Formats: sequence, C-alpha cells, structure tokens
Amino acid sequence: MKIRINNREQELSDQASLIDVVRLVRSTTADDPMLKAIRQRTGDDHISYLVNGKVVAPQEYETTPVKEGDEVRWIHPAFGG
Amino acid sequence: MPDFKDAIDARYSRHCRLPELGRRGQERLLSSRILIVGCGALGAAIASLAARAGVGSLRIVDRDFVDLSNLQRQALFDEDDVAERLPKAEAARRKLARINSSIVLDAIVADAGPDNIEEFIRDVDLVLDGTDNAETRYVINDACLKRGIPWIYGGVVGVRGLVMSIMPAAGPCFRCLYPEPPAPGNMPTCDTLGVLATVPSLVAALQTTEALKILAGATPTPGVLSVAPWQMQFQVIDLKRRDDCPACVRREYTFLDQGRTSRALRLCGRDMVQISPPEPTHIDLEALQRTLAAAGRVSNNGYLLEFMAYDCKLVVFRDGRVLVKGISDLSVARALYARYLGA
Repeated sequence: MKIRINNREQELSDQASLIDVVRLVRSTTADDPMLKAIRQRTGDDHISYLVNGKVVAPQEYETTPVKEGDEVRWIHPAFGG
Repeated sequence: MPDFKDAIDARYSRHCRLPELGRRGQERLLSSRILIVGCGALGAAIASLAARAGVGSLRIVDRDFVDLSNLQRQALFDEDDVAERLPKAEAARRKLARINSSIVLDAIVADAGPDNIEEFIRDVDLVLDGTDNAETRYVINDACLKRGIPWIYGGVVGVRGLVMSIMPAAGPCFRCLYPEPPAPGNMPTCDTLGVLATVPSLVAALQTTEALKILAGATPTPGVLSVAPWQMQFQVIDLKRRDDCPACVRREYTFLDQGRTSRALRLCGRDMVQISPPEPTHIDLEALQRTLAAAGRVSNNGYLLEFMAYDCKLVVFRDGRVLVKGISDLSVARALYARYLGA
C-alpha cells in the first residue's frame, strides 16, 4: 500500500503499523546531524508522529495500523528558546 | 527630546496603510495587553517586535540574568548588560522603553510556574512563549486553557523551530502535540545541542505575527508550522485535537494544579542549579550583602546579588531564588544554599 510520510509517498506492506513507519524514519534520518546528536545524548529522538493529524503516543505505535492513503507526519522536538 | 507619545499615524503609518491591519487594527494593538514568558532569544525578539509594532502593554517575566553566551542571538542585550549582570527582564525593559515610550512595560524577575502564572496572566489578552524548557510550557498551556487566553507556542533547537497558535476554546492545544512531558534532563536544549542564531529570530517573528493577527481580530493559522531555514524548508502540519487530551478536552490542569515539583532545578545544561524558596519571599539584598561580606566577595546591583566564596558562586534574586553556578549536582547546590542562606 501507499501512504504519505512528510509529504512523500512511500510503499509499505499491507499489514504495516505505525511502528514500521517509525523504523523507516529512524533509518532514513540516521545521518541527520541534529537527530543523531539527540539520539546519542538521550537514547531517543523524541520525534512526535501524527497519523492523519493526530499525535500517537509511543506506547501505541505497534497497535496503530496505517492504511492506504494515510498521511503520516513526524515532527522533531523543539523545547529550546 | 521630542514627545513621540501621541504620534500614532506617524509612528505606525506602515501598519495603518496595510489592508490587513489599518488604523483600526493598529488601535486594537495599542489597546492590547500581552505577557511574554521568558526573555531569552525568543522572548527578547518577540518583545522587540511587539513593542515596535505598538502592542500597548507588555509584561515580561524572566528568571535569568544576561550572560555573554546570550549575545550571539538575543536581540535586546549588549555587553553593558553582561557587565552589569542585569536581569534579562530589566535589561529588556530599559531597551524597550527607549524604542517605544508610549507603551506600558512591566518587567518581572521571577520564575514563571504553577504558583505564580495565574497572577501574571490575569489581565492579559494573549500570552507569548519565550521559554527555554518543556516544563514551563505545560504550565502555560494549562493556565491559558483554564483562563481562556490564547497563547503562541514557539520552540527552537539546532537549526529547526516550531510555531503553533493555541486557541483555548477550539483547540488543539500543546498537549495534543506533546501529550506527556519528556523526563527531566532528557530533552535536547539550545545549551546542549546548540542553536543557529537566525532560528529564534525567525520563530519569534512568526509567533509575533500570529499574536498581532489575533490581537487585531484576525484568525490565526491552524496547525503547526515547522521551519528549517538551513534546509530552507517550511511546512504547515495539520494537527487535530486528541479525543482524550487531558488538558483541552477533559479540562484537567495537571501541571497547574501540581504546584512546584521541585525546589532545585538544573537549568538547561548550563552547569547551573536554581533553588527556589519554599514559600514566596522577598530578600533584602543590602542586608544579605552585609551578612555575606564576611564569608566571601559580594556585589549587588539592586536586582541581584552575586556572591563568590572559595567553594561556590551564587546569584541571589530579590524573589528568593538562588542560582548556584558551576554545579550540576542538586544536593551539593542545596547544601550551599543552606550554608549561605540558611534555609
């Protein structure tokens, strides 16, 4: 099936859940300098994932299905000022 | 010196010419009151833009003083402020008063939190986020939802930033974006990860634009704006209210109701600990200066007192807060506080 991740179309298996998207984003952002630094320092990238506009809690990544045409967005954390 | 106080048409002519604002919109700005929480890179840029734009009354709350590392990006401050060790709120007030003498400025040196935020927002039309941490933002979110006041979240780190207008009646709110706060000390900050100098200015300009729109009676932009100027990427992300949002759906104000969670707080990876007094207090800095003079070197600029002894460096504010510099261990900081302030 095809879904959109941050405005880019991606092909995923028909049984995919949000955790598959999370793994995909982790691998495609492995070289992003900021996310890399955040992961190294805190053990997590603190990215928020939205499925069709709604934020999904990390404990629900595995149980949240994604389906054809879904719009997944991910947002980096920004708590500095 | 000429009196600029009543020169509305001259001072704000570029706004008055705009169809989006016009003289009527400008008059609405002039009769508006805002609170800016935090006066670092975001807050100082917001304050400068809002004061120049003619927002009639600005209250600025900040807990820190001007440090040399701030000058790289914090628009209102200069080397004299660093030399004088001025609190940021006061340094900002002095600059803003020279920029626009016709507006009301209220500078408060304090740590905005659950115990005082409702007092700071009681009479304002809108709150702008200039904070540098997650904790205060959860408190602002609760307080603004409870009181029905719009607030504009802005956050930066590295080369990226986010902006979001939160309208209390309609939602979504900050907790729809970040349902739970990160573990303390587990979130990247500008101090640990760095921040590109232009990013806070950009985010602050967008936050202030949203604020001016709301104050002038226009509709704020829904969603979250994500900016990454290094990559020149700007995206508006649709964000919906979470059906089970504790804050904007269930109206449970957890962060506001919990009170202060800790008296000792590590400040943003700066090798500095803030200790807050158990109860609201007022410290007589002159009297404290006399007491501490026997134990080390003391200086007092009327806003804060700096004390240096062989084992520590303390900065004491009139509201009873103490910054213990060069220490990241909370218990060591507490012990030094007890030793020299006897609490």
